[in-house]
Amino acid sequence: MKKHTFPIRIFYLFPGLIILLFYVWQQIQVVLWGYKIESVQKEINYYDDQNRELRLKIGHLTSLDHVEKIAKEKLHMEPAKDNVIIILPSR
Amino acid sequence: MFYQKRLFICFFGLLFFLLLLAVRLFYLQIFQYNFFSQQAKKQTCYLERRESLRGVILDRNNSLLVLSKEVDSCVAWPYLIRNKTEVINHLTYLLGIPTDELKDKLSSSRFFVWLKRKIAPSIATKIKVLHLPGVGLVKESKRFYPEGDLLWHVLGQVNLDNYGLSGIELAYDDLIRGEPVQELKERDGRGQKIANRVTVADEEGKPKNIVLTIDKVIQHIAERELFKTYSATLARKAILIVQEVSTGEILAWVCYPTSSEEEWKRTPELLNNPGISDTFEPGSTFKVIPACFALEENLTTSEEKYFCENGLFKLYGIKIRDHEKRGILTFKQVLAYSSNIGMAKLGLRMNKEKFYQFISNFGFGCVTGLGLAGESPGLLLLNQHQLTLPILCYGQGIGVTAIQLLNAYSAIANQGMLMEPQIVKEIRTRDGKVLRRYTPVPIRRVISERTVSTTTEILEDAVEWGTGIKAKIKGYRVAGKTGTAQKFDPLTKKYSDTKHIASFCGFFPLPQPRIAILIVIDEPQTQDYWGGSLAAPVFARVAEQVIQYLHIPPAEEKYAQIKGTP
Repeated sequence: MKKHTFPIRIFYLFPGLIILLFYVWQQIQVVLWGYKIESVQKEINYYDDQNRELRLKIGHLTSLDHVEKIAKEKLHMEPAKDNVIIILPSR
Repeated sequence: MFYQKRLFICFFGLLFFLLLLAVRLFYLQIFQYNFFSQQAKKQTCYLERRESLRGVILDRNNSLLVLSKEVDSCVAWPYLIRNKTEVINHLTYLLGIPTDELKDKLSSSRFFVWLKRKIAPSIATKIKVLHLPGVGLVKESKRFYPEGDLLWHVLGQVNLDNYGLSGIELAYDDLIRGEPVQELKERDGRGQKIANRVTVADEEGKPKNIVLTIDKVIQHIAERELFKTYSATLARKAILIVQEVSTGEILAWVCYPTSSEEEWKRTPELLNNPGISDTFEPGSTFKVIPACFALEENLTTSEEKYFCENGLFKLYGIKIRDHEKRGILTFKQVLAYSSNIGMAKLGLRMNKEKFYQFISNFGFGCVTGLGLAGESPGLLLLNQHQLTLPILCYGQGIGVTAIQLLNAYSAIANQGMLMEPQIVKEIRTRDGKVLRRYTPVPIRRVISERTVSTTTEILEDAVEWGTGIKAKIKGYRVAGKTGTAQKFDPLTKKYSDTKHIASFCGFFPLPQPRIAILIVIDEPQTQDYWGGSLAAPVFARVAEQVIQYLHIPPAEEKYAQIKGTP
């Protein structure tokens, strides 16, 4: 039986090396994606916080006390009197 | 040969050394695996545990009532602070904490101290800029109320650790708070977070949103109108509840006074909702219940005549008075003019056991099932004294809560069907998915439709020409009853001549009532303390605006034509 020459032995080691490199590469990728996910998570938290802030602001601006104040003081509105006709839709 | 021998020795020396290393490696990797893997995990992984933000509370139209948001709390690690004077100088001014208090906190032997929790964002920014060693900011959640004090007693309060203390916040604390979020995180050599590997919190444990039956607009109307009377009369307390009669849903619930955080922290009793926790003798608003009983049992008719003794009647040694001297009145007039004497005479005909059972059926003497903490069942004692029934017939000798009284009126308005009052409409996930929808719960039929019809007619008369005339609404038919009860003074053990409870309870629009409203003014400090003068006008003002808001068409044909024509 013919003995393998040196380059052929390397050829046999090559797939093993590839697998090893792939393993190392995917481990690095996992860590890198981990950083990215963490950064996106931070961004999500930031926007969640902004969303809450804006909901709160909307809540303040549409609060009936605020609306009434604007209506009375800025728009000089007043409650409807008896002589005002209101058209009631049938329900 | 000589070189070969040395090479051989070196080779075996190295081989032996490598073998030793291999054995050591084998020992560490295999036998000591658990120990070292745990050590490695300790250095790279950590469990982050944080409280979830409490769920939001919405009104029936999805308007925001309460929301949680993250804010900063100022903390210190005293052992890290070298120049305490500098830190104290900066923080005393910024946090508004007295120097001595701050000094004590920073001199503490504890690893970590709270300096001030939940501070304003502007102050947090200023502290951040200072870069004080040993002082930091940590995130905590805080409740925000975009509508201010709207629905203060019903929503309730939370403590610094975000646990519910009262109202909805307490009753639904487990759902609103959710379970703490635990995340296993990994960090690199520089302490930088890599990513979440395991998330322990599941959907089940996440905080839920609560949708109330309250309508923000009706609540606002009710608060504005009740406050006018509350502040004008300098009353001790005032309550107003609006209920939808067919479902038992509460549309508005107002109690005064409300209190500031400092006040309720000093006196936690201020967190109680007087609408469920305070029992009071209702006085004449209760007369409708014995009237229903008498009509149901055929003990009287609406036209039967009663001699009202010209305003003063002596019975078993006590004097029963009417606020106006009346002679002969029909039963209808007895209720409309709110004669105590007429009602006391009716009480003499009643069977005690049957009547107590009847009252219990209306929900008096037991909690209503509303689900809020601190609800009182009221006071309903089966007393053997001969006077028990006569005085009970004009609303004394019984303790009721506001919600019990309103629910009883709603039962009359709802064709005799008692409904369970409801304040929560839905429980939702954070994404808005409905987890539970509360449907109206009929409890029992308390009176027949015949009695409903007669009682409603009598109550309508009480508003048309009786004591409740100020509750009249132009174009609409209203039924209701006033009440003015003297308060029992525990010191003198007599009914007080100066302390009263003025009330009005009614429903509209007839003939198919939709809304019932109760107003209670506790200890008004005005000369005029009558329910008909203080509470009935509040009813009319609120009802008029609710009618406009809900687009309820008028009952009278002429108004329907006028208002229906462009």
